[in-house]
Amino acid sequence: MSLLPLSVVAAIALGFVAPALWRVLGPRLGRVLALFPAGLFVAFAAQSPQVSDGVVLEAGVTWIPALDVRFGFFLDGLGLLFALLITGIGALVFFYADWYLSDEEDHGKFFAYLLMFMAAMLGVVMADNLLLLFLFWEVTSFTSFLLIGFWWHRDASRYGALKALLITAGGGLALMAGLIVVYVVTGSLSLTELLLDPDPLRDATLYPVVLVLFCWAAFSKAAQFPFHIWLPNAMEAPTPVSAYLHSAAMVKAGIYLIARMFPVLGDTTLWFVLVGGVGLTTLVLGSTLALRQRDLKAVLAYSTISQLGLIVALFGWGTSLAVTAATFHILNHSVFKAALFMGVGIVDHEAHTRNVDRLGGLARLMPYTAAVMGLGALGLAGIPPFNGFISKEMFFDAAVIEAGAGLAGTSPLGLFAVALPVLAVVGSVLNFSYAALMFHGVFFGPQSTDLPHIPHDPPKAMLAPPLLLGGLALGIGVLPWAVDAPLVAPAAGAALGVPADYALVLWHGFNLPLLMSAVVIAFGFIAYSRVRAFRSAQLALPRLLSVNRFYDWAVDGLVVGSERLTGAMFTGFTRDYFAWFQAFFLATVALAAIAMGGVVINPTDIAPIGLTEAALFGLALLGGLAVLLLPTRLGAVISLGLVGFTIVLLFTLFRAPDLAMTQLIVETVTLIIFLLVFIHLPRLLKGGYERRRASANAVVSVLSGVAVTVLMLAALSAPMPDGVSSWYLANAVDLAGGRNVVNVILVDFRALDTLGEIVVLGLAALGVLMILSLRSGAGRSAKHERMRREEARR
Amino acid sequence: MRSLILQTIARLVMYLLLVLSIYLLLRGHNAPGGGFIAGLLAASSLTLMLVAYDLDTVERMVPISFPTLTAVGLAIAGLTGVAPMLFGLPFLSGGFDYFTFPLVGEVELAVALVFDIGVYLTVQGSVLTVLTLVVQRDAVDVDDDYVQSAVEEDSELWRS
Repeated sequence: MSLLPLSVVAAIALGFVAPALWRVLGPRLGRVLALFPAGLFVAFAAQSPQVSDGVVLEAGVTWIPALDVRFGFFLDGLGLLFALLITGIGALVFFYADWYLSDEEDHGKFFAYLLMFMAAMLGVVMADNLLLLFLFWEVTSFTSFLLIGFWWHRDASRYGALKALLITAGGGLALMAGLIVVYVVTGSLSLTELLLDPDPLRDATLYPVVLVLFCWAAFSKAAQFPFHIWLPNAMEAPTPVSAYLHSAAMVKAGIYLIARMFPVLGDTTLWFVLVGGVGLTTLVLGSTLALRQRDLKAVLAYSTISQLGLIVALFGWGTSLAVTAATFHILNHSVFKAALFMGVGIVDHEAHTRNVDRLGGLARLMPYTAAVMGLGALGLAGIPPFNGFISKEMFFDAAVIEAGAGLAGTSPLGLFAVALPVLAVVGSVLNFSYAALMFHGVFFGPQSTDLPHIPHDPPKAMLAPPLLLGGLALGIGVLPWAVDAPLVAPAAGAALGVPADYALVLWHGFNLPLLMSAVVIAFGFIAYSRVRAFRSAQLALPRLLSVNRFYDWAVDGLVVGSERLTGAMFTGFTRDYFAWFQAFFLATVALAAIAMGGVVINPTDIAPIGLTEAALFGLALLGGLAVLLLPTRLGAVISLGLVGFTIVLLFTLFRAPDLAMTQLIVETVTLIIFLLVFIHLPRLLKGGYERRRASANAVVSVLSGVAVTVLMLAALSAPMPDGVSSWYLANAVDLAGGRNVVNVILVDFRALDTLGEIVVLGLAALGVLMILSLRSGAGRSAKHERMRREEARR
Repeated sequence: MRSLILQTIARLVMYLLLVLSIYLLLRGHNAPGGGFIAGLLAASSLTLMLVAYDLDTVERMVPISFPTLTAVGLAIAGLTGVAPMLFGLPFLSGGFDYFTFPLVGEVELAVALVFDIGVYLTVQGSVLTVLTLVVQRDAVDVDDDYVQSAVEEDSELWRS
């Protein structure tokens, strides 16, 4: 098997054995497991020379040929950049988490979730088939739900986890709808095919629908306005998880989708307005809100939102320069943001608080941690010679070009495009000041005296991952060409669809973007010195439009509404459930009959009814009537059994031995179960409920009987579709080697249906098990309950 | 209230039913039978034991957890679907061939039979999971006086 599927499959497999490994290795698990993503990183890095030459690696197996679904993977420059980030930062996060988690935590479960998440992320960035991408996409939503809610005993964790799941999995549904439309339009789900020939999709009338659905999915994952609200709450996760989810993974899945779809859907006016507009809004909104926070992790959360907004805006503008800048910033943001998260994790771990107002002057107590945060913050603020400086210069450059297009009258925004560089500078000024807050505010100034715990530097091993990342932020800034040719240029080329014609350099000469950078630094200092005034001014503003309030209102409404609905429908009486089922069935039949313009019954085709059949049906009818008329439940049950056994006789008469045998045993077992259960039932049998209800039930049941009869007669009158039965009869022996056609259909021709059925059967048994054991012992299993009883007896 | 006659017969019949169920399972591909029927039959053989004896006896005789049996059945059926993918064939591809064994003669072996074994175990496991739960609840909180009075009332109603 080649590297692509192997990396995904191995990560999943390792996830399954992680809990067992934990028992063997104890708290050293993370250190050992970190070798796995590290190994994958090396393996992916080894593909770099090939991929940067333009080779696209492909691998996979056929999955569902009938639906044109391949379990196929491909790796081009864009995929490689993401795969390297996922595995590289993944390895550091694994190593760091080992030191971060205390020994009492369930390391096995933690790393199992983390490995599954990593597998899903790799799957997303390498999937060739859109359906496969969707599958992995949903797995990232689900595993991140588990990771964010890792400390499930906290209310806030559960709230954050659920919020992330509802918003990102909701986006996943939009992705599914989008890929269905893509399939309807192009007849293909393969990304490589779409990338080769995007024109049919772009010219289709459904293009805006596809674009909006894909953007919905990407924006929800990448925490873009108005979906950004899940990200701050996701900070309830253990910090290593935040460091991973919000730097290299999860949110970057949304960015990946935008980058991947850019050659297919991008470069239209709608794309420019939607993607560029949402990105820029998020950039300004996120950085404004970041300054208001007191919690260091919350500052990082909003900073992540705004940085992702920057990347999305660049993709929205879509020039060669903008896309290269976006691709480069994906790398840069992952590097410095992971370092910052890990640094904040250390501060929290040591000082037992993350409140910016309480922390100060820590540099003397924890110099190495200060160095980590300094490197990260300088990268974030975009100070030369750090990596963030280069991508910010490119961002300004791209904004200036957009403004130029506006002045020349070629921008869809017209003259308003002049506002883009201004907004870019405003966002960056805010960005600079919260970076300063995180570094200067926490590590310099008067030393705080009332900390819950006196902090000092953690073990060197825990410092190593963030120091490495911080050093990388500096290194990339000084030597940008080292990552350009092998990594950024191929990725940007893949995102653009044509080779990028922009070389990364630190020094661009004296130009407008440099001036803008100088303005940012100057105003950034001023904004930082006024940060408290800024915060109180912001807090004084009334919150007119709150997406969070809408979210809470919608979720509460859903819960309350569905409770009301269930309360009204599910009364606890089986007869009421049946009434609902039958009423729904009747409505469906009636609608279908109306839609098809009535039903046709042709009495000439119906076979004559013989004496035997008439007698059997009479017997069944008698049983049915007895159920209605007998005064006791026991009598009713046995009469119902009579109906069932009559059906057995009918099946035998019509020479269907398989059906007859099944029916016979089902009838017997059902009868026994019923007799065993019936002593638990309340004594009341008939009556006991209002007449109105009873007559409504009578109407529903009579109508159901009539509907079934009419349907059967109509089905018999319709021309039989030729060939289905005869095909099975003719091919059972040749294709499946069986002479019992019923069985061959069940286990061979239509085995997928059977698989579904037995899964339902197993789940039903599981459901009964859960309900009954929960009732008998508040969550104890049935076996526990029995053991408890036996002990009590002794 | 246990009947000795029922218990003696149940013991005999249980084995007969189990053997019959395996017979039905194996011949299902070519003659009436198959995993579904066979699974139900096997379940009903243990049901008979449940009725004749009690849950503890059955659990001692058959030391299997029925939910686990269900899971094993589902796993077998599912893996039968996955296995062909290792050979580059689509999910749930079937296949069969004829083999000659000493003493037995020519026998057809089909992938579908393995799948059917999965069906057999799942059906059996789910039915028995539900049944044992019901029987057990019987023991947990049914008060005998209540049952007695319910039965009496029932028979009174019959007479009236």
